[in-house]
Amino acid sequence: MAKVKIQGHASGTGVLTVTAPNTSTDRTITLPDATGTLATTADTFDPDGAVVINESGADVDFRVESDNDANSLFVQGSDGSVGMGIGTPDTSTYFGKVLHLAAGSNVGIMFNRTSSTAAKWSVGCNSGGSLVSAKEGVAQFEITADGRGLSQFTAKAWCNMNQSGTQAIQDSHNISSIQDDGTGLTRFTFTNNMGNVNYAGSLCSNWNAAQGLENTSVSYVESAIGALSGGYVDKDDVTLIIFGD
Amino acid sequence: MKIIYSTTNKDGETILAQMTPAPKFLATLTGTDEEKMIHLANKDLPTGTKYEITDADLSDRTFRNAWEYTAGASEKTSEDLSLDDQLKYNKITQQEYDDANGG
Repeated sequence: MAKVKIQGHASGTGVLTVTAPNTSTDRTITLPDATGTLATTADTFDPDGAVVINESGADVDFRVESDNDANSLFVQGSDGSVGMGIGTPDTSTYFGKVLHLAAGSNVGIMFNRTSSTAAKWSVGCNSGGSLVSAKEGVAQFEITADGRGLSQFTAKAWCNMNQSGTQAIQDSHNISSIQDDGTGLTRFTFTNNMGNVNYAGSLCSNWNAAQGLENTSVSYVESAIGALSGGYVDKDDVTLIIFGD
Repeated sequence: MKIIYSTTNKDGETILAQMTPAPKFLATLTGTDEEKMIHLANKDLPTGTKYEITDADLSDRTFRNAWEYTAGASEKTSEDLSLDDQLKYNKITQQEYDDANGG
């Protein structure tokens, strides 16, 4: 057995006390192999007090491991990036520093009001690459990877086009093409099909015309523009807006 | 570029239709301009539709409703989209996609 040596300070009067716990079971303190200095009172870890990890600012990582995740919490010493579920937290090319949550499946953060109006809202990324806001497990709003907004309050498609002369789409969203079916008649084909035909749409053109829509297909909607004097007529600045599932 | 083909409009008239792509949609595709138009035709035309890709000037619409489609040497036929594209464009459900893939 190695020697045990306890030595008092040459000039100090303080008393070193080792107190056994109030138990009949033995307790053991194992010292490390390397030489070390126990912290002073000021440096002592106090769970009730402020705690600083890596106060010297060294380029060293901080990591908390769980039963199934080696990087439940990770702070990257080199740049301060913080990750959860990832040991190589990234920065955003748009935002710069971000909290990087990562998982092999859907991942997000939850906001939970716990009062009498309790509600759990989560925002996260699903397997399709969409950003989804969900309440109690039901998606309420989704921004798809290609930038479409899926909800009851965002336009599913819109288009601004010219019928006269060389037909052209000035700008659009979720419209892949327009089909010229004759004077004043246009079919707008959706890039991504609607969920059903019970969607609502509105069509406008410039002055002196009457216009209507016929939404009998999930993949397109057809429009007709008539002159007030009778017959169909081509118009410029024809605009379409579609809401629905 | 445009796609022209024969169709029956809402008034029951057989007429030449011209399809104009949305620039934003074309920007999502890869390949040559013609390959993009073929993809558009496969997506937006019923499978089996005879069509042509043209740069013809169709701006004079004086007799628009008298235009007729006549097959040319470069006529093509629209084909089915791949299952991946059908799912991507919401033309089939995930369940239909999985069933078609033996899932």
